[in-house]
Amino acid sequence: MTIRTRSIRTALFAATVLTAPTLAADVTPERLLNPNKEPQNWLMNHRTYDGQRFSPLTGINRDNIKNLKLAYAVPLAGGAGKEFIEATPLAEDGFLYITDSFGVLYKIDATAGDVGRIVWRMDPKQEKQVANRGAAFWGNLVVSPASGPARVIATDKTSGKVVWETNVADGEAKITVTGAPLAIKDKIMIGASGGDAGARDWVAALDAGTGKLLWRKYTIPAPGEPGSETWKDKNNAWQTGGGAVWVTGTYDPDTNQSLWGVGNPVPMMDARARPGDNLYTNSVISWDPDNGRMNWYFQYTPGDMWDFDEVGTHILFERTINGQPRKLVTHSARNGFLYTMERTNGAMVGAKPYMDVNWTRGIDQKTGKPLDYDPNKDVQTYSGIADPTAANPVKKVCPNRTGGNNYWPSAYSQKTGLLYIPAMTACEFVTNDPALVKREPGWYTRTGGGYKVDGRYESNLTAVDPVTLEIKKNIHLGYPNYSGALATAGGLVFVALLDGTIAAFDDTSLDELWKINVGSGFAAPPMTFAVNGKQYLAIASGPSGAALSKLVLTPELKEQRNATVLYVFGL
Amino acid sequence: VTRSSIRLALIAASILTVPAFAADVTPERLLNPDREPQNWLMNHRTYDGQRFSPLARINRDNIKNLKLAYAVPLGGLGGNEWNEATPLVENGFLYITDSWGVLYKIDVTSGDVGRIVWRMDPKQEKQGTNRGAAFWRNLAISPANWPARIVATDKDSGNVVWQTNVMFDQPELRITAAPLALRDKIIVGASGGDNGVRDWIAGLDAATGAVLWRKFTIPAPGEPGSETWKGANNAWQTGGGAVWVTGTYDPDTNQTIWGTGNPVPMFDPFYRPGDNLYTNSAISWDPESGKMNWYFQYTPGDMWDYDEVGTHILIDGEIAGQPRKLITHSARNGFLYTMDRHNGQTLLAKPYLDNVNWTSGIDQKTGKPLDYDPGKDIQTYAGVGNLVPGAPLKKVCPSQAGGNNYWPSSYSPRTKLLYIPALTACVNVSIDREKHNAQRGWNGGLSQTEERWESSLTSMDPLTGAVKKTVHLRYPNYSGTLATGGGLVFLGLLDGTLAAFDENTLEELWKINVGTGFTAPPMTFEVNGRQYVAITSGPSAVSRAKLVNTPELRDMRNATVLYVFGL
Repeated sequence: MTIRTRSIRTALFAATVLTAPTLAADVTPERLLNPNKEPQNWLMNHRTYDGQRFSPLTGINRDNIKNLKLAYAVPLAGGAGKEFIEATPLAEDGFLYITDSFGVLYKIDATAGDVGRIVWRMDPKQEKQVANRGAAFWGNLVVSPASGPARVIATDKTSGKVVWETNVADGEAKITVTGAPLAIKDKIMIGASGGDAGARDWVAALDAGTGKLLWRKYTIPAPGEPGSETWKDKNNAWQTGGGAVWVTGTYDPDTNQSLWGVGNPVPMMDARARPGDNLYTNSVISWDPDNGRMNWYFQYTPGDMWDFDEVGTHILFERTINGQPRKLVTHSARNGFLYTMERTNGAMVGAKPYMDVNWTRGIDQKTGKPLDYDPNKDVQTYSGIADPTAANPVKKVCPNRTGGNNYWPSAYSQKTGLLYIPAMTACEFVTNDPALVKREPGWYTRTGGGYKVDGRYESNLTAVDPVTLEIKKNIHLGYPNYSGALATAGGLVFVALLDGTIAAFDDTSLDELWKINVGSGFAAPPMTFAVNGKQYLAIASGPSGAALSKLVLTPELKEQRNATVLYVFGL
Repeated sequence: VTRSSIRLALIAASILTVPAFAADVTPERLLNPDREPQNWLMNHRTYDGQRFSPLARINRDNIKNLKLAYAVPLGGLGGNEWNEATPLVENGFLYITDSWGVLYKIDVTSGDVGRIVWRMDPKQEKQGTNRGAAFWRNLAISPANWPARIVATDKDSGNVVWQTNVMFDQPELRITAAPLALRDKIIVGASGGDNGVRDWIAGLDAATGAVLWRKFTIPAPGEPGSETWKGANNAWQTGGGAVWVTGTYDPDTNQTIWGTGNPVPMFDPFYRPGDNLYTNSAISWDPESGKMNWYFQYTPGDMWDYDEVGTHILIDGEIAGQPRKLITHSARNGFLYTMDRHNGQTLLAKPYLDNVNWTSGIDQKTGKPLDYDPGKDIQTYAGVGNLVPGAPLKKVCPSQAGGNNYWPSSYSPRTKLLYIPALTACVNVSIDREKHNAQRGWNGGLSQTEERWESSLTSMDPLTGAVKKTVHLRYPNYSGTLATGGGLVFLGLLDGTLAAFDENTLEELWKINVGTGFTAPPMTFEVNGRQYVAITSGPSAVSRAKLVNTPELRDMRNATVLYVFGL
């Protein structure tokens, strides 16, 4: 299934050298390992391998944020209705790279500071729109996902020509690739999604120079493999078990491990269709990027029945605790808890709720497992409050199936040592309905249940110390955050909401210091870059269908329209 | 024609359910717009079509601080959407249409967000140009197409009160211009002419939507003017003469003045020998009856698409020591014409572009081209750009798109100058004698150029015809201009730039770029004592075709977003 086109790449390079006056600099592994040597750039999905989404730039800061204003806008897509964006732009030396819901990759000239011209577009010719969270740099390539069929495409940064394209569907039409790839040394790591449609997902590595598939590891074990004992049904549920990998992982060069969160088991709301803990769903997995060996894993919500998918970033940070320098990983889980663990083995440092939670009475601070988790049960009951049963098929669960936090990233500030968690606050009524566990055709309705809500979906921004797990500050926001957070050395935390608001908060008081509304919601994260010595804030509007469905009880946004526009703000 | 008693029922229902009515937009309010300068109550703001706002809080001293206050995306239903509508504003609520004919009411009272209150969706199966709505009492009246309709929507509830089908057996007919409310009537113009339609203007009963009168701009055989359609093709039946920009109105003389479009097929005069009245004309109508008071034809026997739908701006001025009521029109053919409002008598006609080549000039008394020959069935004019079957491409200036066009010029009573946004490119045109049917299209030829389409902003004294100042702009203006009491002239360009200029020096004082072109005009309003400038992005396909020689915009995308700027 792999298309190798090494000779085309060489030919294109030769052509480019002849015609293009200056080549953009190669993004070498050394540059990716040293992002703070070029703080003006944003060279990978989370800016840095540690996934902190913290920028050292201080040009925009608490003192001058009130003067922040639109510098320019760059509409994306425009070829169809209901377009959306979930991608974080990359920035390198004055050029931005972003993808849209048709998988189109754009190079945008942001050097002028008052206009963003599209230099080229690479169109993978998708028939349908699919979530696409952006690209990765490697050498002179921009590597981005495309779907229908699932592909990874490397585009020459200078010419916009495709250098290699690898079909990674492996014959599985339900597979999509939606997470931005992660370039590590000479490899491109990617995750597979489409789990909720009844796919069996995986993580893989491609040769960065050729696109050749080097290894692929399923997140759901086949019978006989370690973990297969946690799929106890007789229905071969493992074959359609989900475990999607749809948010870019983090990477620790010192230990050469890459940490990726794994999605929910499928069908998401019917645990009885797949008795057992359902490894390695809802887990963090540490992979050896060289060979795909699993170093360790930790499962957050075994035998999940609430879609507590844990793809959100696993943020790496260092802290001295009791005089000992510690290398840690922290994760604001979709299930409502913040977990901090040892980076080398996933051993629990602590886990505390960052919001109101009812599905469990709490987390065992040593094992990280829910206190009411019973390893002997085929179907967990947990607190007994939120688990739909045959006798009580409708139960209220908090957080709701979308979180809490989710794919929209938390940010960790090196300035304050705090994690800034953007989280949904609504609870939901979930229903288990085995009739909704559908076989072919119609995997898409394989939810195993339903849900409804009786209140507005809104959100919080919560600052938590990831070592003590103490909530330092919490503010409530009137609209859902499907976008994430960005922390900067300017003492600011940026968030964006589904009503079209972008706002900046003081990183200590969480006082709102600035906001603007562009009338169309955000499902993509904010980022920042600098060019010619001037700092900019960039974010693309355009809410996804899943995001828009959260506005069901928000009448003032009933008529809100979609527009996919990259907005760039400056002083 | 669909007439409806639903209106009464709806109003009864509204009284029961809606706590507060917005104030009626009465004929008195429409006649006295300067009593409420915070509002923009009709397409051109005022009946005189000046597109001047007295608002002055945003001015030359503080324009550098103008910044985006908020944005409101429109459309979002399909690909390649565009916008050509001027928003209306009344007491903190903004009304605008999109290319699906959807009418939006947007709450702009807060100043930092624009929430869509309701949408009236006429369920068009396709997108069509739509230049906006008109207020009449508690109705917002807007055009819609497939089929061609006029729709009156209750301002409070967003419910349709009446809807009138005005297709009249011409399926290719469109309504694209914003209606004009005059006393108890709604005046509308028909377009779709370039598809072989015979266009018209009509007056509807504002309360019920009933068509009260309808007058074709192309005479039928035997009617006055029919002698100017000389061929044997029955070309009058498909002769065009579209009316696709809202007219102006002079309450003192009770006349409404509307420009008419080109004859069809546009590049082939041999299909339709003669002057082709009343194409490319200004027509003064009596709004009560549809009686034609007078007309003036700019380019008889046109072969370059010199459609003259652009606004006929009413101004008062002194000529030779006499106060005069005048009309001025920046014509698509490259000349500014100023004429007497009572009869259309030309007072002057001077080029506002420096490259006009199709005629050697305009007779300052008759307003006709100096080289116009009433004895000729096919005009040759200067003999430079005239089209002959089989002849090679000929270079004509201005291009078939103008000069100025539907995108409005504005007149400032402060400076007594007209601000003309005009395309500057020339084109190479030729006849195709087969293109006058549904299969081959109706344009009768082709036009092409290797030039970049760019534009100029020219300030001109309409009483002398003197060009005061001109600045060249790197991108086409398909948007128009807005002049304000703050000493500013605003315009939008096809590269996504919105810019403000000093009204005297035409120095650029401010600009911003939103990455997608403008084909809708800028306007301004005030709410809670703060002034805003509003404009909607989203370039039409016709405008995008003008970027063919502009490689840096090759990958520019479309987005229909209402941008609102404030201090």
